[in-house]
Amino acid sequence: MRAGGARWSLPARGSRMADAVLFEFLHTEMVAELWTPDPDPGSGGPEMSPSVLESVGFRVGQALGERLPRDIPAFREELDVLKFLCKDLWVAVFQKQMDGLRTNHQGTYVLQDNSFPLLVPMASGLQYLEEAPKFLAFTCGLLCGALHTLGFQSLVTASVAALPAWDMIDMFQVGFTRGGLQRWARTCSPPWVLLGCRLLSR
Amino acid sequence: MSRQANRGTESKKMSSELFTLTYGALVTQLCKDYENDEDVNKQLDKILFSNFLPRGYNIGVRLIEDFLARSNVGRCHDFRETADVIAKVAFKMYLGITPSITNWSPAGDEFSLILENNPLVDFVELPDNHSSLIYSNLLCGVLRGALEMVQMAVEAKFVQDTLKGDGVTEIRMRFIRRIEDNLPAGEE
Repeated sequence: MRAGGARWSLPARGSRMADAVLFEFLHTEMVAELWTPDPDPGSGGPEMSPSVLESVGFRVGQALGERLPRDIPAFREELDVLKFLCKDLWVAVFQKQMDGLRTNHQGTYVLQDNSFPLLVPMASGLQYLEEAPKFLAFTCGLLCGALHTLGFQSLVTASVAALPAWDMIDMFQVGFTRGGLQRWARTCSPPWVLLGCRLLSR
Repeated sequence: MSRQANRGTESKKMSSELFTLTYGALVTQLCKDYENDEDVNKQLDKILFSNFLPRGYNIGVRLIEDFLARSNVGRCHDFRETADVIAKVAFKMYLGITPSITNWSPAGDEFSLILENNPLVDFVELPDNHSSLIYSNLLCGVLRGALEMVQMAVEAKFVQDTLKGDGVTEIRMRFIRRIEDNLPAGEE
């Protein structure tokens, strides 16, 4: 997503509001200060305690879930809740809506953001993919917290792709070499973030 | 249609609180993490003051670039102009409040920013025995970092805080010196 008419000298920042920028900078510092790599990656599962970043995000999500105006009667089904997250919550936090929402109608949802603002400022290319999980932890917590306020326990995970899923077939035509991928990544818009959200119970 | 417009306004307001909401959540979380620790104050002070305070400086260093790009403010000729810009433009732009400027020193190198409320503490729960001044010091780091990038070495500190029972929240700004550009030899 590119901003129309870039008047600022800052590159590719888009139309971020000033106060949103302050949040973005704080987020960067929080990640630098608080990120700890998972000591035992094999222990993944619902019992794994959330990182500090996720916990902070959870609190913010809870507060936002309480403070954002919403029509409670309008939440007739789960999908309405997810749509609220994709529109109202995402706009409140990132000044844009989620770009895609898919579900298996069995409690699992995939939310897709084509230009996730907390990753956009990073250098493009494949190296950011390694760093990306740090910049997603807070947001995963945020979604969990908002869902909690709305009455749902949930599991939220995130992944970053250099390409949207439906372009995978083209990637094979380009040539599945690292060089090819890097050239391809550079021509793509900023990173696609997929947030997997599984609602556990009400 | 009007309901949608109302939602937009609310969302806009929400994003303007996101920074304070996030920082409040951060501090609350850190307090919670350490509430069983004997040295809770020491640990918290370390996290917030020693470790995290420099983060405020980092934020300031980046923020000034964003500010200059957005605000079209020209070079300030003296500390009084700087004070005006900080209070009336920068604070308004990033935190949605306009502190008043008072208590100028006779030499014109110190002033106070008076905030009716401390904008950072709306969403935080602090343990009773913890100093809120340290919590708010992130803001001082931001101010210091930002001004250093425009060649001003300043000291910023909280001297009054409504959280501590004071009538207002007061940040004291002191001009130390102008930072000369240090260009490598042979470059212009």
